[in-house]
Amino acid sequence: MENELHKDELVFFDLLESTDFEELNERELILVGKFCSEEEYKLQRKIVVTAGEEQNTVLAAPLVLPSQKAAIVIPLYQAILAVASVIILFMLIWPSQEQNKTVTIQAKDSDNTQPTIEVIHDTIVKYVSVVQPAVNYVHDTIYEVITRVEFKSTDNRLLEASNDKFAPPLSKESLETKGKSLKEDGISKLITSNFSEFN
Amino acid sequence: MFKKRYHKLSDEELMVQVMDHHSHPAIVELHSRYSQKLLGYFMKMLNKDLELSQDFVQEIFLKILEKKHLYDPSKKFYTWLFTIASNMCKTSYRRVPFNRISDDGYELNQSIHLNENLADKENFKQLLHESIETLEFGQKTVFVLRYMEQFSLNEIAEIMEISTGTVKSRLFYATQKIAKQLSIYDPQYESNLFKLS
Repeated sequence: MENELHKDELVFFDLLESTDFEELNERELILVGKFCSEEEYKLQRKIVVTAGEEQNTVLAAPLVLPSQKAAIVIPLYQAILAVASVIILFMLIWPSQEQNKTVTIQAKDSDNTQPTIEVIHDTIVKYVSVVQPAVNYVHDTIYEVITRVEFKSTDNRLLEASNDKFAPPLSKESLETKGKSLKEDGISKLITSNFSEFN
Repeated sequence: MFKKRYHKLSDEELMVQVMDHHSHPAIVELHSRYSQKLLGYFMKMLNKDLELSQDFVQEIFLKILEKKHLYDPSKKFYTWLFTIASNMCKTSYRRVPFNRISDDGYELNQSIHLNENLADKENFKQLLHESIETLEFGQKTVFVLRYMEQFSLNEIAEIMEISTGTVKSRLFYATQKIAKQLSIYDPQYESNLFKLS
């Protein structure tokens, strides 16, 4: 069945595809006669022609594609605008680098003339009480003393903070590297002896 | 930013879009061009099983997306498409053979046509389709592609990956086989058999 057709069969095949029996010339009629009768040729011709008349009337269903991970495409100009906006925003909200910020607050206790240091989070706030000269005071008059508060800059605050305010006092005991042995320690001996009595 | 006019692109250009960008609009455009023709082909090859044919149409376009790297842009797209379609039918034939009748046509659906004239065109078509179903896969495919889908001999040869001579040979024998089956039910043929010379 898979063998290729010989010359006459090929001609017959071409005739069958293209020519009705009535249109065959004498030479073609003789060739067709070698393979089949008139009725057989007409039937085969009818098969070839009728097969092509079939029309499909059913509509194909719409294509359903698997959901695609949407590739987010950002236009170049939008990306540039976004980056510029972020930079401007940072420049606006970035804290200013003022070295010495001086604010004035009201002192609550005008009699306290001792300087106090108060640590708030990681910031050292140093209160400096300023006592006004008494020569200008008028009796029976209440004066408000304005206290200047200095906020030390971040860079220098550790250097300027006085170490003696926080460091524990050095003593001979604290520098001692050796302790007393149990033999010489009377209190430890007392505890261990009491403990053994209980047992 | 620039919306492509897919309907103006050729099949091959659309396939390049699919290959390079996995373009869904391109595959949808190809579907709109070929789904109807494919559905007709599958219906003829799969014994008019509409549901299966619709599934096959869906499946073939998903296969194209999946196997897009196998397409050779120098070749015609629709030839490649029908090669895949033909292979799908072949696989389906292996699973469920559609041949329902023997070579002599004895099991043809006689209730349809026994008492009717074969000259009736619709009946003839019905019988023709039943006869086509009896052909072996190779013959049936070339017959459907050639006489029902109007492909050229060279295109069929490319789709089936056989020589043009083999295509002609298969068509020749397929037509004879169908004619042999149909002639049994052709009163004119029967009368000719017993005609006195």
